[in-house]
Amino acid sequence: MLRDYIVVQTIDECLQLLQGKNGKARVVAGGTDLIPQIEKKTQQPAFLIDVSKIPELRTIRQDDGKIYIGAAVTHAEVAASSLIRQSAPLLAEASLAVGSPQVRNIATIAGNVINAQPAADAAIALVALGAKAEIISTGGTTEEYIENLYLGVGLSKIDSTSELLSRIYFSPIDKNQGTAFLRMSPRNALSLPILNIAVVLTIDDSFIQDVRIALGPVAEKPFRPLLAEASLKGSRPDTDTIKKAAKIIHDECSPRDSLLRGSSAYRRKMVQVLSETALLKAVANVYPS
Amino acid sequence: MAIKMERRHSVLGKALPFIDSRQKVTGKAEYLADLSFPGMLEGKILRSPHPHARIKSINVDKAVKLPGVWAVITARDVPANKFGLSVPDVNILAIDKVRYVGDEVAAVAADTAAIAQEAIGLIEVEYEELPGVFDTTQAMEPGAPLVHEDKKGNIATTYHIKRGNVDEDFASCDFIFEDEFETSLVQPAYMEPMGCVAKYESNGRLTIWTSIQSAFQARSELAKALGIKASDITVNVPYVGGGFGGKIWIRNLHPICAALAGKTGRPVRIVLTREEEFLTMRPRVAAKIKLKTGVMKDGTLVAKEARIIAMNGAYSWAAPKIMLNMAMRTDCLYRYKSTQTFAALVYTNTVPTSGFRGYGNAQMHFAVESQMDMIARRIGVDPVVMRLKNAVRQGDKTLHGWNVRSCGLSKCIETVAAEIKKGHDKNYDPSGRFRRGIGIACMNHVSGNRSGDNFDGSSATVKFQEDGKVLVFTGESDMGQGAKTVMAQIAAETLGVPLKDVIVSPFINTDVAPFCLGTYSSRVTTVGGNAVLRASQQVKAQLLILAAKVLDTEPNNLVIRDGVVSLIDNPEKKLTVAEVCRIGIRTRESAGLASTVSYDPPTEGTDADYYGDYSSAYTYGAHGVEVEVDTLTGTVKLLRVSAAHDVGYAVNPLGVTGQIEGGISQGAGWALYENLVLKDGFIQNTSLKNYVIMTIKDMPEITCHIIETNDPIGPYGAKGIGEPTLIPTPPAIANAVEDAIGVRITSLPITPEKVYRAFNNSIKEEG
Repeated sequence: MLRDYIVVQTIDECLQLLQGKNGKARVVAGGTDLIPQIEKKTQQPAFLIDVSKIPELRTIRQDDGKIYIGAAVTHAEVAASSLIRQSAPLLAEASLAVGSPQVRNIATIAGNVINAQPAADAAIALVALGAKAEIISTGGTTEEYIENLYLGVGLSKIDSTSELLSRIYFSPIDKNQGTAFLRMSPRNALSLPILNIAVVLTIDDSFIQDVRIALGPVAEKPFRPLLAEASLKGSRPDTDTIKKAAKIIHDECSPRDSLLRGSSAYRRKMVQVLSETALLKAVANVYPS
Repeated sequence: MAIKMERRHSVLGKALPFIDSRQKVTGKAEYLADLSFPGMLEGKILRSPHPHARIKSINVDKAVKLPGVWAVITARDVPANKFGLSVPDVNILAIDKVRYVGDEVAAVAADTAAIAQEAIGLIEVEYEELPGVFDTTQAMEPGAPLVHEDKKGNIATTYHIKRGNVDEDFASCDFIFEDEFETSLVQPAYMEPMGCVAKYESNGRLTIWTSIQSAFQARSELAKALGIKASDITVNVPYVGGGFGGKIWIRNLHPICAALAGKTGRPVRIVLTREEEFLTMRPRVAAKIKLKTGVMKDGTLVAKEARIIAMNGAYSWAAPKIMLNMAMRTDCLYRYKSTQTFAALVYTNTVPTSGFRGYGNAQMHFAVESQMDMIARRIGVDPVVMRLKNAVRQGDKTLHGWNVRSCGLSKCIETVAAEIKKGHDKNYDPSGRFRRGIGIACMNHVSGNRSGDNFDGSSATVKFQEDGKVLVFTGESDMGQGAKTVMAQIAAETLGVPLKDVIVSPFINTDVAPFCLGTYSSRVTTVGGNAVLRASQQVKAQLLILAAKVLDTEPNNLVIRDGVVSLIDNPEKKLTVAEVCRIGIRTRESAGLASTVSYDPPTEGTDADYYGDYSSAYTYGAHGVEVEVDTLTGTVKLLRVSAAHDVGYAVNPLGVTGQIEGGISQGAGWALYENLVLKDGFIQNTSLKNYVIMTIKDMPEITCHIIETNDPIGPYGAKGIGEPTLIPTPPAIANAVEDAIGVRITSLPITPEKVYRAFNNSIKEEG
């Protein structure tokens, strides 16, 4: 049974409370995932520590060639940020696809990561960006790639009863990079994706120098089609190459049969369609160097 | 939005905002969950987790002992009366066995909803799981488990209705086409979950507050369930947050709530959660339809034969009546020479199906209007021409004995066909990824539906108050569709007073309201409006007698306009309505200035073979749609809808267009978005998260055309509009999909995967 809801002003205060409550307290920001989980008793914290008023967790800034997004920054803020729209347009698009305006106004980008759903739109974009999370506990500060934070569906490596995801950071998109974020969903608003994909593609001297692709929900965590990425690297970004890569993604992913989302075979076909479209879009987005 | 009509009235025919919309949008209107009574307890229901199981034992000891719990009831604590409609087959709480996931097993009343829910978790039920039947095919197999032991073969009801000589007529046709169609389970998904407050009064009578479409039907069904007299029950209906046919009838929660109130001696409230609604809200009766149609080379329809097998679910409710509509109504859309229908309604261990906007007629229209296009393609006749060639017309007497007193069917078809063609670029990327197509479908429906020789009318009380304001009291529910506004407009127009001077009672009370059947069958504007019209005429006559006395003239020399009574020949000689009321009420004049009218329409009803003219007015409509199909994903996007509806006369065009837009959203939802998915009797999507309802961002561009045919029975010529707006939408979409990609989808919903597979068979079943 929830006993208290504590709004903290500093990271230290949060960490001390977490330690003092010895596993019975849990960090909350937007609460759009956590509160329904408490209602369903799949999470049963005695205390909630609200970090959404900690000033340094509320900022988006560029520093030393990196973009830093505080853990309590909402999807609405990410989607509206001119810095994010310029430096990571795929993330702005992904955040804009989450839930409804009401949800986006309180749900945070860090929550999208910690809730550990394999198709969380912003998390898919962050994986493609190669973003890292900064995690603070009384034991110190550590960093980890976001794609490495998943233990299973709905299960994050970050233990919100003892540590705090304080900020997320990544390198801004360069002028020789192109990006895309696309999703298939049963309707145009307030809808979980049947499929989503994020692509960050780097072109040097007319060849694909690097590419990162993230897909959901086709596995227990955001899925990186490494074989397809390898096939693209060093190739010319032409339609044939992209079609082949999309087919490789089709072959290497394994979405499950779902009565609500469709059969595995159909979903794989859709992975191929969406991948091809997203890769073509990313190539088209590369600024002429 | 294009509305072109001639207007001859001062209050009627105007596109007016609903009289209660301000209260609703400001959050001030009180719905059931807003009501609270001193000492009120909260009730919760324990539901079956199994689709089919024997109840071996129930132990409530732990639940009873939980502090804050006032009562725990099981089947032993409530009357064992079977209730339900034409096939009463349900008990208040399950006796001996449960028949679907969600079936009511026990209930608790406690100080708070949280305590009640905790107590529910403490009730120990030992079940012996039984094999179940989860679709009609399984249920009809020889030796299949029986849902009800006394219902052999799991058959709830059957119909065989035959008109003319079908065998002879089929033999004379140039072509005979046989096709199969299937419709899916969809939920009314009204915004406000169902709920009930029950309270026993000190005189022993039971008071119910509930959000329902039919207060008097609720009262009689509750009486049947509880084994008490209907006159010992008062049903009150506050604001209702949507119904769409899903709130016509009571559900088990109502007698359960009453039983808890009886046991505790305190008011008890039960409000269902959304999840409970998804488990127990009555979905549309899903049907498998085999349709055989005989036609001549020129497209003239001759004979039609339908074989329907439909899913009843675990209990019968309104499904038998819905089957009857499904079996008959489309026979009156076109001028068939003969028709025949065999229909069987089959029990399954799934959520009971029942009424939802269209009430069976919508399912059959999907089959008939899909097949019309299929036949037109096969024989090379334009589908619009073919519909016009066969459409019923004013003056027709249909195969089932309907007298078509007004009919704008052809006009509706012509209007939407012309408009949807006009905006459609046939050369839009014909071989590209995104392909566009257009399609139309038409429909007929009713405004009221006399069952046998029973009452099919409505009643209303209209009275002047001492300041000249008018009060209208009705027992017909307004679920948000605007019934109160329509009643107010009819009263204001008839009485000659401004709309603002008419108050429509904001809630229904069965002790006060004259007898009414309720809001269903798209009947309330037509029959309810007629009752208000007649009561208003009577009150007006009373007022004119008094005014004539004061003005020293005869009543028929007087006219009332905008709240002023004056001499027709000498408008300077006048009194305000308020002045007449002041002279008449609270004085020794003792003028009643009140009238209650019970109105029954001049229709025949039906004989034992369901033959007869049974509705006040028959309604007609057509939808033209344009879709864009993504051939790579199978996704169908609804781009445009042109809708034309023959409403007789539009009392409130804003209300009519609201109904059209809402019907299109529910019809397109059924065709493309919504789907209650069952697996072995378990509903897979019990929340609005994955039961997908269209949002405003999915809505197409809609053009509404109101066709007025001035019905001779409807008040001021008005007919119903509620259900018709949904009916033609799914077949029009299916027709447009075929036009776009050359593929026919004959089962609902038209999912992307279904379209993809049909369009591109390259997909292989893997792993």
